[in-house]
Amino acid sequence: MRIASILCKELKCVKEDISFHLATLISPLLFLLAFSLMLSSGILLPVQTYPGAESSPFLYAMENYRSPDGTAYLELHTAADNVPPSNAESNLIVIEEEPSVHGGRITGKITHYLNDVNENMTKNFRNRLTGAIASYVEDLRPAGNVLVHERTAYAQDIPWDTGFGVSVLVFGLMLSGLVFGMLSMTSEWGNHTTQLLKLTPYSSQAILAGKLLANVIKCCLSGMAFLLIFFAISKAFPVHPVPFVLSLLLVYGTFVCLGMCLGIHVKSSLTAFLISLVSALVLWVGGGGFGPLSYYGDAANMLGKLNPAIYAIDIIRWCYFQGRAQLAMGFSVLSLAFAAAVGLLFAAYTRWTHREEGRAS
Amino acid sequence: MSVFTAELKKLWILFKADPKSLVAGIIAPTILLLVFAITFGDFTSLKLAYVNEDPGPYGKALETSLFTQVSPLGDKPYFEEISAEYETAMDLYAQGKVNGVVVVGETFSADLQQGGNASIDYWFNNYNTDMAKNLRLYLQEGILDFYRTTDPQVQIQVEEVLNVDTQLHWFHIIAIAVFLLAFLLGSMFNMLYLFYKEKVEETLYVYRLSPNSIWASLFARVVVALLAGAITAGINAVLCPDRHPSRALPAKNAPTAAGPGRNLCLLRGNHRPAGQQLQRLSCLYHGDHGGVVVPLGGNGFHQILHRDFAVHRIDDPQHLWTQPDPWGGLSHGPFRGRHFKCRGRLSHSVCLRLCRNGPGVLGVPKKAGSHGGITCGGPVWSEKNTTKSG
Repeated sequence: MRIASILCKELKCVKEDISFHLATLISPLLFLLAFSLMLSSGILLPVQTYPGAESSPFLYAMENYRSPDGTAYLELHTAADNVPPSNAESNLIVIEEEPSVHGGRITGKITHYLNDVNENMTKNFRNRLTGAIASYVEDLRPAGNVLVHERTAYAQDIPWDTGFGVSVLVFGLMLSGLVFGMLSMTSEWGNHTTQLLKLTPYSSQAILAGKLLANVIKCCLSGMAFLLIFFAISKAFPVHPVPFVLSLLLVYGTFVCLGMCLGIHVKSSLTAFLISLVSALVLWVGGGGFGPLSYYGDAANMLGKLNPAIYAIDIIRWCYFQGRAQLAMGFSVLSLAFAAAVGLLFAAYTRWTHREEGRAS
Repeated sequence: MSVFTAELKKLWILFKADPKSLVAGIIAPTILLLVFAITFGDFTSLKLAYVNEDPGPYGKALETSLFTQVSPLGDKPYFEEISAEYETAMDLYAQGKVNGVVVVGETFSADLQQGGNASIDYWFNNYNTDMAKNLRLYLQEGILDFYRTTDPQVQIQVEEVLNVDTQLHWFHIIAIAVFLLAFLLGSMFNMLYLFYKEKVEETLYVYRLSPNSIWASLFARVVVALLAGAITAGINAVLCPDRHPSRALPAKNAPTAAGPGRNLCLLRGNHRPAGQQLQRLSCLYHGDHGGVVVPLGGNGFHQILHRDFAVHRIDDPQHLWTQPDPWGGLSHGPFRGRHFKCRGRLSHSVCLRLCRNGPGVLGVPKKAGSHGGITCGGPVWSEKNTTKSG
């Protein structure tokens, strides 16, 4: 009964700090929208060619050079001239001499005009052109080719924005857990009700359990809102709902506890929010939010093993896309992290209340 | 005016007492910058385990081709090689320590030698479309090089011509936007935070009671906010000094077509894969092209080369492989002798002077840190100095 009262009180307190509560939803959504809009254009790059694809067998083949899922790498547009103007908007590929077989020799000459100031685009265009040439050479000759048998981790390439959205979900889980946990304590400071917490005859366990439950409910509501929006954007839905919900609850529980610990010591909501935001971001990036940690050095990989975010991302990606995942290890670590966070919270809360009682006497 | 000054003083006291308002303007853009720098900004070679079970020569040739292709972004090889046995490689792959594994079977060379096609197994993590695309296309870079090196009949020539004044690293383009973001966030958060402080201190009601106009007070807040924005942007700029647009040298003249006496051959030996590729390309210097610009250097090279010279990349196996001893020709050829050392900013002008005088060679020591340069004749420019100029 006492837990239910605390739960109701915590939920009613939402209206005291609506902006912070909204931030837990808006922050990951902004991330998702910003990166999706910026980077979700896919792998197709527009390029001008001279002559047009209809006049050159090589360009026709290049137009049909695709990834295994059928997405073309280059979108060809016919240029008016074989020399680009100085203010050309896109790269120009000119077939000076059509690649073809002459007496057993495969010859051809291609000029690639780079009209982009971005070095990354130079790399991208060069890679696509090289890939198209290699593919064309393989078409032109019957032997001497290297056939690549792909053994991919996922049955299909994961669309960039969908994969990123799933990864951002973990950032949202950590952020909402930290912020809601923190707000449940800083609101006590703000409302000058910390004395009541210390003087209450009810056990710390009951109070903390009520707060924990209320915060996890708030986290779930925030998470559901994110998932609905994410589903509307990507049409992606977890194919393993039970492990998905379980992992969500473990992450929420862990970070709510950590947020409450933070709230005990940091009285200002704004300061605690900033700390939560930065912590969630650092843990998320350090946990492979932007991609596998093989990008980073050994130190980052070592630290990554201690980071619950890496296991959460691994499990949640599996729930959405299947593929490979270390589920047993992931759930073990998340459970341990939750247990450790609960223990830390009880220790910190008890120490805080006892210390204040001692000072008062 | 007195209200403005008084408000300014008050805000300054508030600002000094609690400079947390700067935090958002510094931390958020810095984290964004780090994220971009780590994940997208700097080109990172992808770790690829190579399992060569082929006893013949082609498995080794494919290995060389795969790991010697250099990205124009960052002048690093596309793949960093992790040589391993099959079990170890698959274990590394399962742990996510390598991006992919190439397994070349025992019959790879035999299949090619018998006039057929050969196959390889390519295990890779296609966790998103972008990475999958990169892993596929980088492999194709190596495979096309393999075709060229193993089959002299493949003679498709690709020439790259830079048609813009300069090229910028993608990170620098993003960094300019992040720099502006730091200014905006710093200003906005300062404004919000100082109001928040007044709300917490319960002094906002004073404004309602004030007989004076609020405009002077508001203007003071704007001034303080702009100051905070300038501080956060300044701190952010210090964290990444390379972002300044002036660091990208604009071309004085439009790029010209390649031709004898106008171009520069770049030799680079300190980086193993890049060195191997350039060792091949160095043959071009003695070819019929009358000098070739090879844009495979770092940013410093790019910037210099872009100033006055057309930048060409020529993948012509006929020229790449007809010279049995590229270094010998350069060591004992007609260009042996002169040795230039450029220092700091002077290097640009010195380099340009060298190039105007005729075909030149940019040499880089085989061992990083040594200053001798390659004994290859022609004007030699040591790595130490080129790095400074970049």
